[in-house]
Amino acid sequence: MKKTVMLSFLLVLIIGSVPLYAETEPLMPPEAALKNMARASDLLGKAVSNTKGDDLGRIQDLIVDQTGTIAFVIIGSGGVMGVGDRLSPVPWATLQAGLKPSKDRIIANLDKETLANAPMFEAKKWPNFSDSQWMKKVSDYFHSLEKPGISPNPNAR
Amino acid sequence: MMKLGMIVLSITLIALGTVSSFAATTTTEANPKVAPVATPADKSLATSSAAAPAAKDGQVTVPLDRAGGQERVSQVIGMNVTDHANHKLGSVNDMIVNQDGRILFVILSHGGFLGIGDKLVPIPWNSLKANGAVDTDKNALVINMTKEQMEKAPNFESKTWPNFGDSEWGTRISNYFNSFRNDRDNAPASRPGPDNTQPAGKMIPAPATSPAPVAPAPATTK
Repeated sequence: MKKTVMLSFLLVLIIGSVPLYAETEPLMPPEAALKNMARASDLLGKAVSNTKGDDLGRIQDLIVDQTGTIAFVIIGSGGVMGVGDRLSPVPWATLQAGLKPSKDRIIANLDKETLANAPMFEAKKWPNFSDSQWMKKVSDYFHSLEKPGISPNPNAR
Repeated sequence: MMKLGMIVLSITLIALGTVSSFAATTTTEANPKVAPVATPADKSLATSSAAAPAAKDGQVTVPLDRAGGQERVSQVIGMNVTDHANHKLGSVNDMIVNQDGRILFVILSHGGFLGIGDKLVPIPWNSLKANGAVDTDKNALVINMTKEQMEKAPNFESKTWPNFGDSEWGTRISNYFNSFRNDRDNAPASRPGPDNTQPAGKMIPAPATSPAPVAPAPATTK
């Protein structure tokens, strides 16, 4: 009898230890995620155009969020020699071809007018990107253009 | 005696039932890895991974309504990297981004002189996530890694950038940081307590409550 009691205690101990152990995330992402990588420093300053061949500006910066995902690409356009630039945050997903190397430029799925009407700021006055009001404005704008998941699909519009 | 034994048995059975049902909710359904003995290390492992809920991000599309803790890449590049004791380890040389816009590695540079002879150390983002933070006051990236550990890490020279898609290279980095992570998790004493809860800087890792915004924003509420 004593044995049974001991045994059941042991069982509780063993099973009780299960929830204390949780799997840790692998350090390396799955292989599929390792395709088409780029150095962030190479992206900065890169020219952006759309599929029609319109020149949209240059990548001025990348905004990375807490999860390590680039939420927005800051495209600078207008202005002369960096003075008077208007900067517009656009979702990363609009970079249609992603990082597919066309060495000197990146293709975005973005009309010239869409970019021109997007929320912008001046190069001298960077907004606080942690400000949810401002980010909401930007996301609302792009959400209104493209339905769910901001899929960069021109037919979705 | 017999009766007492039965009572104890039934109590333990009830306890067992509740514990295991709890287990079912916390672990992923089938084959939970059974740790034979619950050591304190296991406990810290469980809690630390619970504190990093961004773990399950197969997420590809970017939720637009995420806010807070946003960093400019152009400002992170060039930032000093220090350990928790404020020793300089090097600086951020670059970041490696994939097609989905995810940052896979932060490239730390150290050694060398005026950019010559630098050693570049790729640090997996997932390893930084739970242990790295941007200290906005000091304008530095603070990571939980000693100078020694960093110096032993797989590295390359600035003239010979590796192909990060090369699985052999990836495995080497992964193995190194895994061993390093295990050491760290098994020796919680080496982790200075106050720094963990450091309030000054903006934390890069997602706080425990952040997986919520991962859900795609409702298209229109108006």
